Amino acid sequence: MSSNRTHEFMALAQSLPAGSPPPTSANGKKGDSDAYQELRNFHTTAAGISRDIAGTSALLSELSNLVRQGFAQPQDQARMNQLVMHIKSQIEGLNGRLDQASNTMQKQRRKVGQQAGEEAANMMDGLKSTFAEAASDFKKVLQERTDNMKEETDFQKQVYDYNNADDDDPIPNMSSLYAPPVFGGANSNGFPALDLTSSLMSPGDNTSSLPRPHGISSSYSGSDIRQRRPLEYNNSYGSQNSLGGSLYSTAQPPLTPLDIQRMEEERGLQQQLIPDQDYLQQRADAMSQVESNIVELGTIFNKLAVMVQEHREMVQRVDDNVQDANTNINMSMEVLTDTLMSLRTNRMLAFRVFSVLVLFIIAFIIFFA
Amino acid sequence: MKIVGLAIVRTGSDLNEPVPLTVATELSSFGFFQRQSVKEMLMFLTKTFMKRTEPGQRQSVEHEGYVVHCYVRSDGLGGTVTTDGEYPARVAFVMLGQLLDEFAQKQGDSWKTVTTPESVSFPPADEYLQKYQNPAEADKITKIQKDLDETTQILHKTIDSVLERGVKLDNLVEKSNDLSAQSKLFYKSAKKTNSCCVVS
Repeated sequence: MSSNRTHEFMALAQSLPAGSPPPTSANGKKGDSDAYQELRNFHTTAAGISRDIAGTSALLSELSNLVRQGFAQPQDQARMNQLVMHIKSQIEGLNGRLDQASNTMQKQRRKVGQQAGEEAANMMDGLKSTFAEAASDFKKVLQERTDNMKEETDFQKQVYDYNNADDDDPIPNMSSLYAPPVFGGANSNGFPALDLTSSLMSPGDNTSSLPRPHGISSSYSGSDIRQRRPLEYNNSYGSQNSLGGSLYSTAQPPLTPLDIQRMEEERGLQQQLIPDQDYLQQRADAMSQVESNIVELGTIFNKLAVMVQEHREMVQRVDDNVQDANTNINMSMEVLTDTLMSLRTNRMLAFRVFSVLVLFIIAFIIFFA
Repeated sequence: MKIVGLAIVRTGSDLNEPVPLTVATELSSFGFFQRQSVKEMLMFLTKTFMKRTEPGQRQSVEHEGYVVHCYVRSDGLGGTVTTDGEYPARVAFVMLGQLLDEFAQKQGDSWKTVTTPESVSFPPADEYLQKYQNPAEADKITKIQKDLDETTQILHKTIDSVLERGVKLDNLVEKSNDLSAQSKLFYKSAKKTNSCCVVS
């Protein structure tokens, strides 16, 4: 009756996708423990999600440290970009998984009883709040980073305008020395690239980044900012130079104007497209929701198929059992008919024996008489 | 979830105010005497927002509980849909897109020179307004979503019944096990009765 069905189970386990709950065992637990099984799966998924959230937060803290350093080195820049992409993708993945998990939890809740359902709901809420915190922190860090970059570009612009205005200051000589490496050798004199940058700055930056023709600079505001920036630079790089000198320390980030230009373009485009982005975003969301629904349907169908497959085994067993019963009963019917026949014919035998005895007696009497 | 008004508007740099070409409204939810003022406000909102919308841009602006979705095509033809807060913006923009395409197709280029407001008659505008009152029917994505939800529900019920079936099959297995055991015992006792003792 109970054969070794390990190989069937292994085959089934391999054919199942990794994330789906395991099918009911061959001994057939009731529907309740199915729900408990799924609850266990839910717990494991939730644990996975919380681990990932922790990982994302760690990456986020690294990113925020890098951002807070201020003007960063190129490898830091690259690392920051990498981190940003990574964190973004993780956050999106986590979002999807959280939604999925909360849907599963809603479904399972009614089956597993009051307390387990509440516990699951609380866990979901906790996860969601941590996730929301992480997402908002990410946003803050990104904001800080864009602010930093803006400061940098303002600063550079100021530097080169200042450079433009004062000709007899010894510092511009240093600047002309330093300018080529900063621009990455793309231009022989730095000004054309600078012009591009300034013209691309969004109209919202009207502090110091209004596009200015060459040779004209509001030296007053320039000097203000000049006096401010070196202090900042002094703080972050500890170089003690005169008024503009610290600007040209080698800690000047080689953020080429090409980069700045690209960033400004992106920002500008984003601001232009933001009105449309809502609509497009909505469409994208709707499509992705439809897609996830369809995928869910697919998994449900798969589960259904698996369940029905199991049932096939059970039905076969039922069939075998009933077949055995049938055979047994047939055989016992034979035996009983034999018994019956033998019961009937026993009297015949006795009768025969008796008649033989009577014949013997008659023969004996005849023999003696 | 309802649409209150719909307007096709022509914008352009030669006009200081956008010119509404066709207007359709569904004001049955307002009292009879309010309708006129509501309609005027709709037109005013339409013109204001169309003036501020760049070509190739979509915007949704909320005003006193109603949302105005505006869309201007790159050639200067634009439309606005005024809906209540619940109506999904995406459906409104899809409707605008379709409406404007049909309008441009039917009217050809004639709308580009119109300057009198509400002078173009375009009956499909009313049809669109009525059809899109229920976004679930008119917008394909919403319909698909609804169908999918239904299907998912049905499948959940199916899975429940399959689980029940499993339980019942399990019962059957047990019972048939018992049956076969009992029949075996029966056979054995029958054989015993037959073979050893002789019934006298």
